[in-house]
Amino acid sequence: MIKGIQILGILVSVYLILQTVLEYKKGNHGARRTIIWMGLWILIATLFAFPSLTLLALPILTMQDAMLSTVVIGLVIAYILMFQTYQHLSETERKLTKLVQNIAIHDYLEKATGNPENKQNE
Amino acid sequence: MTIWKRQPAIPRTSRMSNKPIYVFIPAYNEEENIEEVINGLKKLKMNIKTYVIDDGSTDRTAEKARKAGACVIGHPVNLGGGTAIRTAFAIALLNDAEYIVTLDGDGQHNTDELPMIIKEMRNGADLIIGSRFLKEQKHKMLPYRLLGIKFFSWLISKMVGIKITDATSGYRAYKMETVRKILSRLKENQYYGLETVVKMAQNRAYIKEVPVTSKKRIGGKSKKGVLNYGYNLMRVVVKNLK
Repeated sequence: MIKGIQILGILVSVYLILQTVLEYKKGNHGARRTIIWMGLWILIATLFAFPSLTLLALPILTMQDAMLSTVVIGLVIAYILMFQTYQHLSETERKLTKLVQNIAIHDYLEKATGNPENKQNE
Repeated sequence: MTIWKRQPAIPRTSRMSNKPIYVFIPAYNEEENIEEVINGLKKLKMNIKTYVIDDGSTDRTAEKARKAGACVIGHPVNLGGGTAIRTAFAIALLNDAEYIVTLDGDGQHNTDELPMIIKEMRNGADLIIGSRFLKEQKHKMLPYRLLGIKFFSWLISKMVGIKITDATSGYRAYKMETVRKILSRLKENQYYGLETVVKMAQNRAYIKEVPVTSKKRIGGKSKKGVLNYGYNLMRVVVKNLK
């Protein structure tokens, strides 16, 4: 019988699955990225629906508590995602900086060619 | 406690050509102050080329700077003072500039002191920092800001093995030959002051401080939040630990 936090977990997972599908339909995500995210949400939904599945991982993780192992695995996945997001943001910021500087320099050069810069400070 | 061993740098006196001095003013929403800064430079009657790096201002900074006679280089979006300074370096290199001077667009730097900074540059320095703590100031800084700047300057001094009293000052002069060597290693978008000092020192640059006057802002307000500023300065220090 599914109850309490399990219902909430499944509902959140379903919402995230729908969001991922929508992003794919809008063309914001490629097929590969959609499959990875869908896989992750389905895994989370399954674990919420059948928490006893985590018992299978207990011997590998050398843990004795199903709940604790779920939390630990969840935290590890969250940190991986955070790190990936951070990397992605840094890369985007670097690209944006480069782009902005290139635009500024390009504009300057364009103006300087038409209007010699010597005149600008006279 | 010097974090890394550093050979003492020596001034490399070079005959200064009659090339103009390029003055760069990074500015973000400084419409109330920018004209006065540019007019102050014009009064000097020196061979100066004034550039305003408008870092995505949403007010009339660019328009007023242009009207005052400066050449405006515009960033389409606001990225921070560090990016503006790197754009300034790129423009200076394109113009084959020998030396550049940078000063803030908020009107807190005294343009009358520019000839003194240039004179010090002629004596062979790679980086001149205008320090607000080498002479008595009429305009007093907020205590927490003062404490923060003094602490980070002390920290940087220990890191690079040179006594620096005002590592965050934006009133500076750079020798472009030295800047060229470190430019690709400058990454900070906002808090560039500490980073440039560290990279310059790593490159055995001759860094000198000169006393400058700090004035009160003419208008507008500082964009630096206390906690954010402190956190980011510490982040830059940690990032630049070797």
